[in-house]
Order: sequence, then structure tokens, then C-alpha cells
Amino acid sequence: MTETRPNDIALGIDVGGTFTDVVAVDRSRGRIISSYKLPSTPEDPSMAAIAAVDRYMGNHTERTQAVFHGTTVGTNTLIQKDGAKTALIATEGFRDILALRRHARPRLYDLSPRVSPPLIPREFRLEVKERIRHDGAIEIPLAVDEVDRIIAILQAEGIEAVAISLLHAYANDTHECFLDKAIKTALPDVFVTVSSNVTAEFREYERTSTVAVNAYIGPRVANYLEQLRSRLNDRAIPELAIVKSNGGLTSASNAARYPVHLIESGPSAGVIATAALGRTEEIGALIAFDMGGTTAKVGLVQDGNPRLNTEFHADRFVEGRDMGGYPIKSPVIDLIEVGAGGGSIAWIDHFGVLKVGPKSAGASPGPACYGRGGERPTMTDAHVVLGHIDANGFTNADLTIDEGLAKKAIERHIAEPMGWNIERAAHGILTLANATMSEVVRLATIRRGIDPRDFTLVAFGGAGPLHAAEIAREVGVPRVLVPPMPGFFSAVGTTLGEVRHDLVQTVVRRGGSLTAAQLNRAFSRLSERASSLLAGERTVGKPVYERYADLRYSGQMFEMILPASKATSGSDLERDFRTAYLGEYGYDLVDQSVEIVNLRLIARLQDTQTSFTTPITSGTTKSMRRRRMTLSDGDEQTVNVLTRDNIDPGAVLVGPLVIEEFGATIRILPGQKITVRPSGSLLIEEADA
Amino acid sequence: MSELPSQLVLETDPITFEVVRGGLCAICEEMKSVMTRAAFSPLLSLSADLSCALLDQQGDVVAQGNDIPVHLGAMPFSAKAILARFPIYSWQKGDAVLSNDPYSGGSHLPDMTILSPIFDATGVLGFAASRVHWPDVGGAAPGSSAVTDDIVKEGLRIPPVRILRGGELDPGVTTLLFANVRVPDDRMGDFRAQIACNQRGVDRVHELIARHGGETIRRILAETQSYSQTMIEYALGTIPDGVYRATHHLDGDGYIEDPGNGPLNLTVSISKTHSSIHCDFSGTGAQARGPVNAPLSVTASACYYLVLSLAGGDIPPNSGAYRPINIVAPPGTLVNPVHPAPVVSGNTEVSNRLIDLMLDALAPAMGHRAIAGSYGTAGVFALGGVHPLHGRPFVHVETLGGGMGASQQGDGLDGHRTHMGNTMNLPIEASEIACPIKIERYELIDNSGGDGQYAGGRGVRRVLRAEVDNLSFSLLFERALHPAHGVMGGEAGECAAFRIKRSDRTIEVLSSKTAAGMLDEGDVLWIETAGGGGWGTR
Repeated sequence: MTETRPNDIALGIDVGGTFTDVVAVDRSRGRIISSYKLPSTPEDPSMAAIAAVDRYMGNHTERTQAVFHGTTVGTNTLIQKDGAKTALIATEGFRDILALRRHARPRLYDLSPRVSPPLIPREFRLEVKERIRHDGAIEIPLAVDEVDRIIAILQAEGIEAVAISLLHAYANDTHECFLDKAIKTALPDVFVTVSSNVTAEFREYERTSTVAVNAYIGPRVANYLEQLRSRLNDRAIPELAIVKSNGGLTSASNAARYPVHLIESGPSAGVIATAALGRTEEIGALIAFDMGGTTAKVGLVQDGNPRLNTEFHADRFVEGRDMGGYPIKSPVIDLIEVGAGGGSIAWIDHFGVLKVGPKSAGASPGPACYGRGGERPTMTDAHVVLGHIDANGFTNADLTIDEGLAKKAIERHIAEPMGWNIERAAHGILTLANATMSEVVRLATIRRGIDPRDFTLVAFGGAGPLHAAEIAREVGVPRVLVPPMPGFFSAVGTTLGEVRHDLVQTVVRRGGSLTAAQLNRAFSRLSERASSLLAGERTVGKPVYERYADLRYSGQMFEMILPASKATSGSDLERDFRTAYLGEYGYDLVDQSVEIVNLRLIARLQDTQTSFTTPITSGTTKSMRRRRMTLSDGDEQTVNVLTRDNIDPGAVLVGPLVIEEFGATIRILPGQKITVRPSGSLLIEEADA
Repeated sequence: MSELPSQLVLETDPITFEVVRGGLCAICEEMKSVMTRAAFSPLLSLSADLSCALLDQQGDVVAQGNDIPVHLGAMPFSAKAILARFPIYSWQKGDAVLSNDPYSGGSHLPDMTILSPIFDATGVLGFAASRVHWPDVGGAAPGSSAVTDDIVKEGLRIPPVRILRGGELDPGVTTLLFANVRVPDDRMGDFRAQIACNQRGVDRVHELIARHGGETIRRILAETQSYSQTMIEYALGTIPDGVYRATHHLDGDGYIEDPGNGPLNLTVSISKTHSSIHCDFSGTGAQARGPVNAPLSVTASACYYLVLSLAGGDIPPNSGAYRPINIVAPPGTLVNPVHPAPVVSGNTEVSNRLIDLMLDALAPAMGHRAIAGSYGTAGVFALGGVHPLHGRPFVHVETLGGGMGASQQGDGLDGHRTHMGNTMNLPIEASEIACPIKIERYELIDNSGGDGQYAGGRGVRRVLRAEVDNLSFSLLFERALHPAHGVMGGEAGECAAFRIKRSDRTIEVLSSKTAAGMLDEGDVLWIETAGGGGWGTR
């Protein structure tokens, strides 16, 4: 079983707002062999990606087999509202579904609330005379002259993309498919997408919104992927795999058909990497804590698997204001995001109260200490003032740190107005920021009834390891793992996923009334669709299918998702639901009937190699340096500073301690200790635990 | 024109203050999450028709979640009424008191308030409080929101009663309570969830006390209120001083209609002086026979919401924020009824109309910042009957959106819930599965928003066809007679309209409050909600 795959080099590319991170992984050995940070190129993200590939190929002769890529092109198209000229085709009487939304407004105390504008303007929201009933029966057939009328309008208006979403199409897709075929035949250059194919789920607003997003971003994403693939072809790299919102991978061609499933492609890679690290460490319960320049993100891994949501609201916050966003019915890695990062700006409100964020100095001008014109004090400046980040030893790409500028910004904007000394102001900034981020970890765990004491927090991103020890202590998470190269963890994660497709079909039947034959037929239809998607993949692996079902008591608005691989009939599912409900909420409603609402199928290509290690260099703690840092009570303390490469693998070190490496700084608090794990990760725990 | 706010004076270390203050708000949200995860009622898990707060030992609100506006006033009013019945010295650890009485600080009977005490070393430091809308509390009809003429017919009225003593539930009270509601098992689940939610609030504040000490926490409870007060005073300073008046009329109360010269008038006189605001509702009509009476806590909620929103909407709601707001509401009127007036629609109709009334009054003071009127209702319609598929009775309760008023920021929102409430609609596809109806249209109404430089939001058209006989329905809407006002020269919105097209093609026009309508197979119910008012001349 130790057969090695020769030349199995893959590049993982993670495009961030500031940097594009690249790692080269030798997949046959599970080793990272090199890494780069390049400035991102937001106007054309593929430029930085290709530049990264060229840089690797210039330094290495081994042939690159594959590029794994987390992309933000779809999201950016949505945020910048520069998608295709799109039309909607809806059932007569219902073209305004996209504007009516769920009719709740996103901000309560606002006399002029705004909601995300429909991606398709009213004049391009077209109606057809047709009607399908909820049981799939056709009440009003779709007339051929209706189709011709629609095609004429699409042509006359120069429409580039079409979203088709008819009422109850999840129960019968005949009319949607007829329109799809007719439009594609008449207008072959138009991107056409139908709701029953993208997500065959009931609830017309969410389904219509999903297919509208798919159409709106479709042509841009398809074009981007096609360009990237052709450039990789020029460089003799055969495989391009794209990270999906669900943490799985897919081929460029599947990705181009369903760009709506890529909306959270970028952020999900860090959680995939967290799950992979958990496999190596044999830990199933992990909190992914990813903190960069502008935001901090928290996700969960439970029983080894990233926690997913079945719905996501894209482009929800505009300049910090909740606009509701665009609901997308697509399994997406559950991430809670807060505007707290190294670049978050500290400020004092009208009434003399200190605040941190959500405004960020971003990459440009960046924190004051970068000396690029930023004058406002940021979290990074606070770390510099306190000595956590060394102005002389800063090892991030192409940056120098000016401690004087950091001090000046904090003194002028915080310390002087508050009547504090600079160190107290800096501590105040970090205390507030840590309180905010601790609340996000609580939100991801305690507020969902999950006990953080059962978890290990994995800290990554440029700023994650600076704050993790304090946040873990605050929330009561007993262990912190800092992986090797935490600044590149998301890029590593892109290479660690499996090909995965999630399919859904609404049924809405009372539990007992769904026979074994009906259940099997419904799942077989999903399997057929999954097989055709898997046939479009280039990755090799063993297909694995998992069945799930969404159930609820009749009259409830929310469903519970249950594993359904073992159930042979609706009655089995109903029994499992009642047991699960009793376990979750403490009671079963014996007299209440149970409904099966959706059937779900997850199709994966199982890969044997989805973990990684890095070699541990045999360092020596003798090379320890010492640096003076200011404590919160104003006293100074001499703190040991180490370079990560120099840590003796057998050592147990106690805090306070700072460990520096390329792209990140790790802080260990007084009373905490660290050990080096076989994976190369550092484990931080309370010393007296 | 205005005086600048005095800088907030904090005795507490400002960093500790902001950390604890943020923590108190987070505790309220955490309490809500405990409630929504454990509750059975879709109303709670879907619409989050609940609110959670932390109070100081006087019953003043220190922190409250980002809750639906109509709950704002009820917290302090209910808490004060409960403390009047159960003075501070009478509380023990593990106690809890329940009340839903509109005549003891409550809003309407379905809203249940529970208070739990928080102790530090020296005694009661404050309270964790929650307020939850129960889908049923007995009364004449399922849902406890029928048009009646007496609060006794609206359901079970609970003045403040102690339900927990030293952690033990009082079996006498719970037996009585659950004998008087429909589907008692579900309600028991909601009730236990609510107690668990309060307990979470108590536990989390205990953690803060353990870390910072009771004395510091007590001080921060007071300083947090001063902080919100300072912010509100600053915002009020930007509105020109003066006295501003307006009178509007409600459509009707389910018994009579008021086309504009009847008794259902809402009148306000707002005096704005420096950094305080005085809302005097003297002149408002006498309390109605039907349930369009807003208890004082609901009237106060409307005033609080308006001022918080005028101030930018980011000020943490608490009693400090309400201090600069004085309210005069004469007893026995539509805005402060006395027993035994029915009150269930005060929340859904009167509260929303009060916002438009006050916006209309303030329009001259606000100039370009004026906001036009909205569709003025929660738009509740209910259907009931027997489903032919399984032979069981069903009840379908839903809200409809309408047009929101325009402002200088742009057109009013189309077809959404506005101001005091914020429930979600039900998917067409889900409704057709659940009920023997076919929904034929759900769309925006062209040109229904008032014209202007910025147009009012458009109203909604909902058309549904009965697929069985004997389908009962009720409508609780507004603005079939009185359109939403425009501002800065903008025009009023279109009125709402309600009618039935019978299967024999006869047409019946309905009023905005129809208590016991009946549809037979093939009959079509046609609902059109009002548009919002426009802003500015085109």
C-alpha cells in the first residue's frame, strides 16, 4: 500500500483580498514543498493565479499535475453587480417573487430600510401562461406560441443569460425543460439555467433566487474558468479542480454550469484544511479560526466533517449595512464572519467610548506602521506598540514595520483623547477586539447548544495565531492547534478536498405514505443525475453515495436533516425522526403527523490521500531571543521569542512566549504551555490543566 | 438650534465598560437563541416573535436584543408592574414571575412575560426577562386574535403570578394555565423553553459578576443606560424645537367604519425642546368596541421605535434611551384603554398607524429628512376549514406586506413589512401544499406607491381561489379608507382594497376588517394592500 505516485505535484491557490497564496504539495508524500505570497489582482484574479504558477514552474522542474483553486470571481461579480444582462421566466402572476422576497426587512430600526435590489429588473422578469400543481399535475399546459413569444423578447432585448423558475417545478420539470431546450436551440449563445436542475427544492423565492444568481454570474464565471483552463493547458497542466461552497471539489466544466455552488469557494478551503488536520491529529471536534487583515471567520468541524448550512445569503452586507442579500439554496460550509482583522481601525465615538472596527485599513493604505499612508491606528499597530510584533524581525512579504508610526497613530487618535498612555490604549484596543471575536466563537458554539470545552481551536490566517490563545482562554476552549505555515493554511486546504456533489429533491409526503419502492425510485433519480455529474470529473476516485432526508412535524416551518442510507421506507424515516427529535428537544409529539420534505444525495469521489504533514526540523531552543513587552497593568516584562524552525520537537515550553515564522506570529500567554505535535503543529494548553 | 451632548462620564474603566456592555447585549441574543432552538411554535422559530432583556433592580431595561419594535415598550412596563406586585425584598434565588396582562404593563394576551431575579452577594442585582408570543392563549377563536368586544373573550388574562419559587414550578398555576389554552403540549414546550432562556441569562450575568464583582456590574448597568440616553439626546438635538400636530383616522374596529369624521381618531401633539421630546395623545378618540385599542406599552413602543430610528437605529435600546421621551396618553382612549376593552389588534394596526401619525406631525420639523406614510398594518389574514385530503381541520395565518413610505434616501420599499413588526411571508408552494387553495397572483401593484421625486413603495396583490366549500376567512388590514401620506410635496399612496369574486361572477366589496367571511369552491378572494406615500415633487 506504499505505492507512490510519481511526479504528483499539485498547486493550491487561494485568492484573498490582499494576497494570493500558493502552495506546492507533493501529494504522493503529503508534503508541502514550497509556498509563495503574491499581491492579488482584483481586476483579473487569474493574473495572480497564473503568475503564481509560473513562479513555481520557474523554480522547479518537476511536472505539475493539477491546480486546485478557490475562486472569488462569482462572489465579486455579485458584489460589483457586473453580471450578465439576465431575464427571468416565471409563472403568470409571480414575476415579482424576486422583489417581494420573504417580505421581512433586514434592519429593524430604520425608517428607510434598503434590501438588495433584484438582480433581474422588472422589465426583464417575464411571465408565461402555465400552471403545475403541487402534486406535479399539469393544470394549465404551456403553449408553444407562449415559448415563441418569450424567445422573441429575449432576442430583441439582447439578453445574455436566462433563469427559468416556474411554480412547483420541483414536482414536475416538464415546462421548465421545454423552455430550456427551446431557448438553447433558438439562442445557442445565451446561458440558460432552470430551477429544477439547480435545486429541485420547494419554496419558490429561495429557488428562484438561487437560479437567478446562477444565471447572473454564469457567463462571467464560465469565461474566467475557460481562460484559466486554457492558460494551464498552455503550460501542460492537465487538471484544474475548483473548490465549491460545500468544501468539495469539482471540475472546471461542472463548475461553469453551476457557478452558484462556488459562491463561498474561497473561505471554505480553510475549514477543509482544519478537517484534514483533525484527521491527522485524530481529533473530530475543531473550531476553525481564520483571521486575516480585514475579517475573522469561525467555522466548525464536528465528527470530522465541516458543519454545513443548506442556505446562504450572498452579498448581504453593503458597507456594514444588512441588505438581506441573495438567498442561495446550496450546501455551504457554515462560517460566521466578523469585521475584525489586523487592519481593523480603532476609534472613539461621539460620546467618548472606544470602538474597534468594523472599518478596516485593508491592504491599502494598511496599518499606520506599514508606512503606506495609513494614519488611523489598527489592531496591528497595537501589537507593534506592545512588542508582540517585532518591528525589526517582521518577516512578512515585502513589508517593513515602523514602530514610531504605530505609536504616533495610537497616541494621537486614542491615548491623547482618552487621557491614557500609549500602552494602555493599545491594550484597550486588543481587549475589545478579543471580546468581539470571543463572542463570534460563542455564537458558533454556545448559542447553538454546542459546548466549546469539547473542541480544539485551530488558528490560522496571518493574525489568527496572535489572538487564538486569548480567545480560547476567554471562551473556555481547552486546546489551540497552530498548524505549520498558518498563513498558507487555506491554500493548503484547496488541495485536500474530495470531489463532491449535493443533490436535493422535494417530495412533501406524510412519512407512512412513502413506500419503499417510491423512496428507492426517488433516490435512483438523484443517483442518475449524480452519476452524470461525476462523469464530468477528471479526478480519479471511488464513488460513494450517502442518502439524507429532511423531516418535520406537519405544520412546522423547519426540517431536521437525518441520515437515510439505512432507511428502506417512509415509515423508517418517520421513526428515526421521532427518535432524533426526542433526543434534540426532549419530547416527541405522538399525535402529530410527520412529513418527509426533501431527499438529499451526496455523491463523492473518495480520495485516499487527504491529509498532510510537514517535516519537523530538529531545532534547538538555544537560539531563543528575549524582547521587552508591556503588560496590561503598564509593567514591562521580558518575553522569550523563538523562531518556529528552531523549536526542539521534544520541548515543552511555557508562556509568556512569542513564536515567529514566515507569515504569522504566535502568542502564548502566561500560564499556558506548548508542545510540538508529530504533524508539526504546535499545541497550546493551560499549563495547570 | 441644538445643544451638543455632554460627554458621557464613566466611573468604570472605559475598556471594562465597553467589554461588559457588549457582553450584556450578547447575553440577550444568547437567551433568544436558547428560546428559538427549543421552541415548538413556528411563530417563534420563524418570525422570532419574542424578546429578551436584562433589567436593573428597578425594572429598567439595561440591554435588549435587536428585537421586533412592538416589544420595546412592554419590557419596562411589564417589569415595573411585576415589581409593584412583588417588591424587591420578596424575591428569592430561583424564583420567576409570569404575566400577560395588558392592564398590568402588557401589550396583548398572547405575549407572555417572565422575570427571573439575578443575585450578587448583596441581594437582587437585576433581572433576566423574556417576552414570547404564544400562538394561542384560549379565547373565542384559535390564535386568540379574533374581533371581539371584551378582553375576557380574547383569552386567559394572567396578572403577575409567581410560577417558580426556589427553582420549583408551582403546579397549581401551571395546571390552571394549561387547562385554558389550545394544544397545551406545545405550549408547555414553549413555556419550558422560556424558563430555560431566562436561566441562561441569569447564569451568564453570574459569570460577569464572578469576574468583575457585583459593584462594578451594578455601576455598569446604570452607565449603560446613561450611554444610550446621551446618544438619544444628541440625536434629538438635531430636530428643530417646536410643537407639531397631526390627526389620522383608523379604517374601523370590526364593528363600525370611520371614513374620517368618526370616533376612531388618533391625535398627537409632539413638543420637541432641546434634547427631549414630549408625545401628547390628548384628543385621541375614546377606546373602541372592537380590538383596535393599544395599551400604553404599545403606544410607548411606537414612540420609542420612532425616536430610536430617527437617531440612526444603532443606539442600544434601553430605559436610558427612553428617558428623554415623555408620553401622555389619556386613559380610556385608543392609545391607553381601560378594562375591559379588547386590545389584540393594538399591536398590529394601531401601533403602525401611530408611526405614520407621528411621522406626518414631524414632517415640517424634519424638512428633507421627512419620511412618508406606509401601508399601516401587519396585514394578518387567516383561513380555516377542513382539508379534504385528510379530513382534518386546518388554520392558516399569514401576514402580507405593503408599500413603505419614501424618503430622501430613495423610493419606499415595495411589498415588505414595515415599522413595528417583521414576520416573514409563507411560500406560495408551501401554502398550496398545506391548504385547499390555489394562489393565482402574488405581485406588486403598478403605480400604487405615491408619486414623487421618490415614489412610495408599491402595495401587494394577493389573489387566491378556494378549492373547497366552507372556507372561513378573516382580514385584519388598514388603509382601505385612509391613504398613506406623502411628504415634501409627494403624493399619497393608493388605498387598500378587498373583494370577493364569487363563482357566479358577482363581486362583493369587503372592509379592511372582516371578521367571519366565508368562501365556497371557485370563489376568489382578492387582497390589495396600500402603497406608501411619495417624497418630493417630480
